[in-house]
Amino acid sequence: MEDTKIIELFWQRDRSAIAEVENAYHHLLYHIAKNITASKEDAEECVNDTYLKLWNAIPPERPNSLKNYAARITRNLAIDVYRRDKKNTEIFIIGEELEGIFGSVENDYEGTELSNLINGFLGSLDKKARVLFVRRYWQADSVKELSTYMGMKESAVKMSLSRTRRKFQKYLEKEGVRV
Amino acid sequence: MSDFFEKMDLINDEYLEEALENEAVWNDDDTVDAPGKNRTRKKIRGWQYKAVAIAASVVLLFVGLVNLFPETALAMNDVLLLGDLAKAVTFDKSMKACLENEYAQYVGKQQITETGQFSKVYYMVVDASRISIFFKTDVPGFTGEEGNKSFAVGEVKDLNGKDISGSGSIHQTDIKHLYEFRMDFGEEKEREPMPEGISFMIEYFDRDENGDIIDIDKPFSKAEYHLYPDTKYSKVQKTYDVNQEIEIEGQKFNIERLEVYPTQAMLCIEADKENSDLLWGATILLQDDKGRTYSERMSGTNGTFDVESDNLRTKWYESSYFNETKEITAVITDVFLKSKEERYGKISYANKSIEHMPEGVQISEMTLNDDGSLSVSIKARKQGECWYPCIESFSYRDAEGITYDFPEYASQTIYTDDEEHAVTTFTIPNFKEDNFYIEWIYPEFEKLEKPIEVKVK
Repeated sequence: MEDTKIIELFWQRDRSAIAEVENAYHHLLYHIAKNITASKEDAEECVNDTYLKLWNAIPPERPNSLKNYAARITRNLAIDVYRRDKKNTEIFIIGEELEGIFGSVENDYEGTELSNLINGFLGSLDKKARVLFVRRYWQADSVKELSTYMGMKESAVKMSLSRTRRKFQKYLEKEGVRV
Repeated sequence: MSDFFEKMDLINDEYLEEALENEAVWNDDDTVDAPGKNRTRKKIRGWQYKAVAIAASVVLLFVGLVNLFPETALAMNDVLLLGDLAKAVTFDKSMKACLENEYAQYVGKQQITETGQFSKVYYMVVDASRISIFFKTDVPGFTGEEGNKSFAVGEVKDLNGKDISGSGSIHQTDIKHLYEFRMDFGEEKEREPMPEGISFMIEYFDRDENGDIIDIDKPFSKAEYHLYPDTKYSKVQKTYDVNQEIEIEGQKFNIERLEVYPTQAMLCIEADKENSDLLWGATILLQDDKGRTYSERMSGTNGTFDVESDNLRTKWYESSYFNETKEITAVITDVFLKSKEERYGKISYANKSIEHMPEGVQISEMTLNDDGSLSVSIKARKQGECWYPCIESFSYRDAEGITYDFPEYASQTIYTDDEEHAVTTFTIPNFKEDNFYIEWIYPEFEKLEKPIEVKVK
């Protein structure tokens, strides 16, 4: 079923919408949650809570992309779990990788302005580098997963990510972001 | 300052969409396949159920869980599509039809016990006469399955705490570790209202080296689920009143009605109280106007007896619910009758005989043991297309009418090499001549020269 039809089910308060979401995106949502929480049980809880939040949010919401909307909810729920437990060393590593970039961005660049900067930078990348970057730093995929997913050697993944991070830092400097 | 999580969440939907576009397929072992490689993403189906339980229960779902991660957990934690489930219930055509027609209530609850046993309830299939619960657990449930642990379904209770699991039975599906637990609620006239909610308990046990549960009263762990049958399903049935009198071998019967549910169908028969014989069985086929035949159910209850009169009361069938049938006809081809007067037979060791021995039954051996008990072996032949291996009931009575259970399970039927006969052996302690009676349950078989047809729909 297409996202628009599932959203319509939510609007009709038809609970089969939840099952349709599960059917379509369970694997994705679970994967995101598991990446961040490093716990199968917590990941399942996040995914199930996502379904509940979707039910409560739609209506009034009518998201353009149900997949993205659900994925963002799951990610936020998983981040809450991570912040509570702080058990996932992979997230720690990801945080360190981005420390050189975001760690030095002043608070002034929160919100819309920073959003424009980030998306402007992503738009300047080629697709492969962009997908790697987003999957690593938004979805918290491990290097090994990215290697398999992209059909690249792990060393090539690391190299690509490293180059993109350096580019990002230079991009921010060029845009006059105080670092 | 907010951390990188928030900052990265500022990315536009278009880049997120792009990154999530080629969603990888995660295998049960938590590894990932590249997109396009053995891609098995399944097409979504338009499920018709209402997932009532989901929204109500997700908050409670993981209460009490601990951080134990059995290796099998992820393998268990997959999405089970109705189509796949339908393929796995080959033992029950009606249930298969239900699932193929997407007649199922989604549950999607799972638990891991304190000791690490994973279970997940996927669906309920509910109608006015039955609740079926499809669940998976990583512990074997049947003798013969590997492992030193086992599970059983404990008491099933309604919202008032009343045990309603009396008719429960577990069925193994064609998917490993996926089971159906079903509870039958009988015919419309007899049953109590469908419970609004049930507590469904999976209990885990240690097994000994033979694979047997060591102590059925001492589960080492439990997983309890609260399930809520949707009233949309729990009221579903079609009743066709028939009320047609028929006569077979001088005995009168009334074909009362046909009850059709998605999961099964039931034909209700009433025997005339004045009959000289008891109706102890019958071969009755259901046929529809398109030539389809609905067989007797091969799993679970396939018939009931009237408690007071001991006559056959109901016959249970595969369901015609999902087929567009204008007419259904019951075709009676043979019956099993038992004379009321010859129901009990007095045992005589002196004569090596038992009264009222049915035709086709003979005594193989009768021995008076040193301890005063009497052991009797009885041999009986197969009747017609049906096979009634029970020859005598599991109890006996004395001249005063007091009933006793045999000290050991009496009718452990042993099939003979020719597969045309069965032998049972029972023992009566402290035997006295002319004092003990057994109850014959081996009926007289009567194949009807001309089948009796009754239009029931």
